[in-house]
Amino acid sequence: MTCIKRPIFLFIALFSLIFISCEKLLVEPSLPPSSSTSRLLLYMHSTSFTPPDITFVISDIKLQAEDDRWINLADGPIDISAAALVDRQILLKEAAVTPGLYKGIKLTISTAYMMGRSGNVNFALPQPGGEVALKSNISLKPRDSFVACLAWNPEKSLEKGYLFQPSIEVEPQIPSARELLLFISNSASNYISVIDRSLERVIGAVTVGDRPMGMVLNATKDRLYVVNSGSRTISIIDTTQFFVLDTIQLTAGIEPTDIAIIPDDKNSIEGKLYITNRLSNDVTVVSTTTKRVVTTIAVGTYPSAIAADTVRKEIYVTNKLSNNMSIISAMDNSLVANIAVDNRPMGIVVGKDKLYVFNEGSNRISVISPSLRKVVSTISVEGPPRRGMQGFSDQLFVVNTAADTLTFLNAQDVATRTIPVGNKPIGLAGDEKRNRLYITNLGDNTVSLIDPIGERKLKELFVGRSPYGALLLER
Amino acid sequence: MLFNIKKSSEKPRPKRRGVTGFTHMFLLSHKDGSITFYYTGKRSNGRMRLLLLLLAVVFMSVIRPDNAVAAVYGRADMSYQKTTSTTAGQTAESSSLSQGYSLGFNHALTSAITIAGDVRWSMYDTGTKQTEDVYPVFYLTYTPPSMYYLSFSYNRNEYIPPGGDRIAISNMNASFALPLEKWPSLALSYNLSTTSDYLYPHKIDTETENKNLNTNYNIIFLETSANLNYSYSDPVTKDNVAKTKSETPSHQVSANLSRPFWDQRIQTGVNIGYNQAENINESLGAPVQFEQKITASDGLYLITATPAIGALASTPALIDNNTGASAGIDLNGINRNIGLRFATAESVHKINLYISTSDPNIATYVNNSPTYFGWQLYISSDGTNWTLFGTPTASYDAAYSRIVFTFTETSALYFKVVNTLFPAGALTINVTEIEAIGFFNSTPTVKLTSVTKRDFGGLNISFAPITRLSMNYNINYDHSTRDVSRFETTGVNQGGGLSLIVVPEYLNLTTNYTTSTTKSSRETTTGQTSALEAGTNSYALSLSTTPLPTLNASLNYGYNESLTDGDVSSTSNSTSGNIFMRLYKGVNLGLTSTLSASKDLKANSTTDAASHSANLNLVPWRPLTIVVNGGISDSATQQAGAETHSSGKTLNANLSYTPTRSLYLAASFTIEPTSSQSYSATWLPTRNTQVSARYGSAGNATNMGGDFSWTPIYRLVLHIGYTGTQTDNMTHDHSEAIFASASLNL
Repeated sequence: MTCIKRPIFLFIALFSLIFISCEKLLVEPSLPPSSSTSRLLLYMHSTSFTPPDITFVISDIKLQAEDDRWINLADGPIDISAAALVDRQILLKEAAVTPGLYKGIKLTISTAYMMGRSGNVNFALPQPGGEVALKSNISLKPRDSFVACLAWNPEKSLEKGYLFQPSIEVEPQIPSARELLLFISNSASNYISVIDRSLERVIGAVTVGDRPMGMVLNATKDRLYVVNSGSRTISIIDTTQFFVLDTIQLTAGIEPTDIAIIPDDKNSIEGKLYITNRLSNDVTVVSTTTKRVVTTIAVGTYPSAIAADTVRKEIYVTNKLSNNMSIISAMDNSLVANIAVDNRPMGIVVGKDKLYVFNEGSNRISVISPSLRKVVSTISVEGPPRRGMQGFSDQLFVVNTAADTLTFLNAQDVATRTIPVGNKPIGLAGDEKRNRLYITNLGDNTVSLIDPIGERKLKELFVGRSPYGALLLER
Repeated sequence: MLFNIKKSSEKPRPKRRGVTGFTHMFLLSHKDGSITFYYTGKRSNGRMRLLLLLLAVVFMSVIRPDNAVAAVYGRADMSYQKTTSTTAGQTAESSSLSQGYSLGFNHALTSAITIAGDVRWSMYDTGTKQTEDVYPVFYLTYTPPSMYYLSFSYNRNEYIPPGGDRIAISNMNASFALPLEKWPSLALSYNLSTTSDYLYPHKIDTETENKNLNTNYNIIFLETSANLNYSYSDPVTKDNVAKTKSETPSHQVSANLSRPFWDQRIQTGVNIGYNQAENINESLGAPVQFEQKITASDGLYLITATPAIGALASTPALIDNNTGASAGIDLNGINRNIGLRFATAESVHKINLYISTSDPNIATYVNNSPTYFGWQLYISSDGTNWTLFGTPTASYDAAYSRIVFTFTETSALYFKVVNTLFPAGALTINVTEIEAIGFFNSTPTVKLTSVTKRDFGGLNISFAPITRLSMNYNINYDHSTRDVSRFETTGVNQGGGLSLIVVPEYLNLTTNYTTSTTKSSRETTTGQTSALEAGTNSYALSLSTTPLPTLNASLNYGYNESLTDGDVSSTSNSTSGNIFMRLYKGVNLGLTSTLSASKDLKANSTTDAASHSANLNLVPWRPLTIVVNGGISDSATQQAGAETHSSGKTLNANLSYTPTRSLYLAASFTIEPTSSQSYSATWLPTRNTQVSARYGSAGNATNMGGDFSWTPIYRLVLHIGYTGTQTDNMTHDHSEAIFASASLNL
């Protein structure tokens, strides 16, 4: 583009005026952008591990504004069971709310009972009208997301043996130690869920751009970079206080999805981000220092996943429709090799002196030597394998998205077991200090917690819509 | 409107050419029906145009007085880092300060039109070099119903490579895409990237252009799902310094079909694809010989004062394509014999030796090699008897951290460089990689074209007649040829598997088989043909059971063999079993045993190994988790009649304790094979503050660190941190790094 002279500026202004004046002639857009509302996520969990078997039904939930107005959040019925809430958390409601300060939450309970030998034993409800008023201190800023947790103690919810007076406290969103955090990108929403791995609960949410997908942490673990595929931006999130520090506009590439980082130095805050663009068949390089696009690198057709080796300073990209993977040198951002793999490579993992490429179309994992730059062996799995991770003494964990299963492979790359997880599992993260594996399930809005040693599913957490990526912070 | 106001300062100020051309930028973004315009003006007109921008905003706001108030936002980001390291009594220091400030506004004129602007100023200072840039942006967003996506953009930034001069990079991009769910499907993208320094004449001046077209269709017809894709790409790189141009236009077409049969019990899938790429290398001046990297079969190294005689030791780390890790070689002494070997004799005219060092004088040492290194080049036909070829010309390439040796082209099976001197007082200079460069064409030419053709495809069938049984078979092939050097490779992979629930929950059986073969051949630079055939066969069998919710186990067998030229070159098999028990609430135990045997027929060696490991997971109460891992291993290797034994033990434990939401404590202990320990604590005294401290020791090294994060007011975050390492050795080596950052978001 060369120099654009002054008349062009006048043209732009005139063009703008025409649009303004002709607005009514245009077809109305489907939904106006909502830049003035906030998101409130209401969760509930039980504080008792051996509760009495109480069940109650919430018919509606209201929020009390600072001026004492009541805002309807949810019309039930929502069944709450003490037994089902043991060591679990459920999402009561995700609501768009006007920003402001809210000082109370009111639950209206329609029924409360306990399972007895001869049937349900109904309890008397709190008065008036089964309403339970809870004090809260919820401050919602425009475009922010906020998680409020209702902590229910079933053991202290019965008075005189017949009156159901639930003991519930509202826990507002507060940070946890950074080393305990797990971030989940909800690709059909526009926020990141933050999970405390010690509590095994959602404790926070951060509004980002449209359709967040891939995520990566910088070397000092204080900045989280999230690719927003729908809005073509990267959100930079502070990992201590859960808010967006800055937004980088991606001015190159079509449909960015996945991201990797090469730090400038071992302990450097800054580095280079590499983002795959599915429809333009290239990788965009962004500097975190200048927050601008540095260059784009052509790779194969439909780049589907990306991973980085920070020691070799190499970037690996799988290309779904050209049945190969590309190797990019981060030293000069040049394509150095293309290696043929099997049909529809959709995921890649950097292991110890090996790369694992998950070929969804052929039920096979290609094992590649980055030194020799060729496939050295292949592993057949029940499949179809889509993504994976290596950890817990060199075990390999593979999600088979189309089959809703997770396959465990031992250190000799032999499959030992396949278990069902949620609907369309796709993202993985592993916590070796706690023996926990986290799997995002795209199809049922949950995160499965897996025992990687016992090869069994433990429980599920409810997050946002279509959770895609999982990334945990560990130092 | 967008104005690019450029300001840079260097210490000292060198002479430089005028700023290259334009700084106008025009961004038109149409995403799901939205259009965004960016526009820039030249520096000299920047302030005037900014004023016109503001007037335009005011004018448009006046038209819609009910929307006159605009939302304003601002961001400020600053980070500082300083690193000091002392090794062998010598201290190296580096520091950097990065600042970025942006101020913006957005204003919804109507429900469909939004006006916004942003000014970003960034500065990067490494102590000796400083760069400053200002990027104001103004854009107008138009959001009609979803029709197409269109964007134009331009941006420019600079960076300072280690040891190099300031480099300016500009990018121009254009993208157009129709919505995937609509017909026709089309995505077009164009990118022009220029990289140049400010020297005259230039040392770096390149242009890279990428054009890409992609069309993709998903069709469902009579239960058959089909995906058809065509893509075209044309990356072009022009080096105005070397006066060369390379272009690789490439076409690819692929089809994926899938169809279920018999009520979804049989799933079939077929894929086929073809790719043709032309690699065009052109000289923009006189005819030249184009270069190529020659793949070595082994790296070689030895310290010897008699370079003319003697074999060197195999050092695969020298050719593992990893310039980030030392190959275990340093140049802080004489008689370093570093070389490589080829499968057949090759013609070489250049050798690149990649190094890693923090010595600021490395360029001086290398560029004055006769004084500091005294390099000599040797060649050999048998790896034992070496002939001195001469003294190569050595130069330092800072961008790639490598020593470039150039010499008259010669052919040999073995090459090595030897240093007869070394720079006394230099910091450690590690060697990471070596590579040899030859020519594509023996006679100079203006243009060299090679065509690579690739076809690939495969078939996948899975059959699940009942819910308890599933089987699958798949085969894939990949064939490619390149006319230059007559390169051809053909790969075929096939495999099958079976999964059977023999007795629900009590016995599951899984077995699979995989075989792969790759044949490749090429013509070497000396005209010989080099051919290679490699393959692998793998079998695996697994039995698993879950008789109780608190108990599961599995027994697994795996066999793998590698083939070279059709003959088995190595085999390995392993048998492993694992059992998991939930002994008590909060007490979980996992046990694994593995027996393996491997045979290398080429080296005539066999290795038998046994390993046993245990994982104990304790959660005595909710806030405390303890994980203990232990294992023992033993292996015996027989080679050439001699037997060697090795054994090992591992034992480590991790503790994590979260007594309250505001306190987290963790500790890790490793007892075997070597003792180490680390502790960390994180405390949140208030919801806006987070403090963490770390301490660890391993061997004679101690490391410690801490950081503090504070959010005094909403959207202001402050971080400071420290990391230090001390080594208890003769020279008391130590390193320290401090960092501080502040971010403000309005």
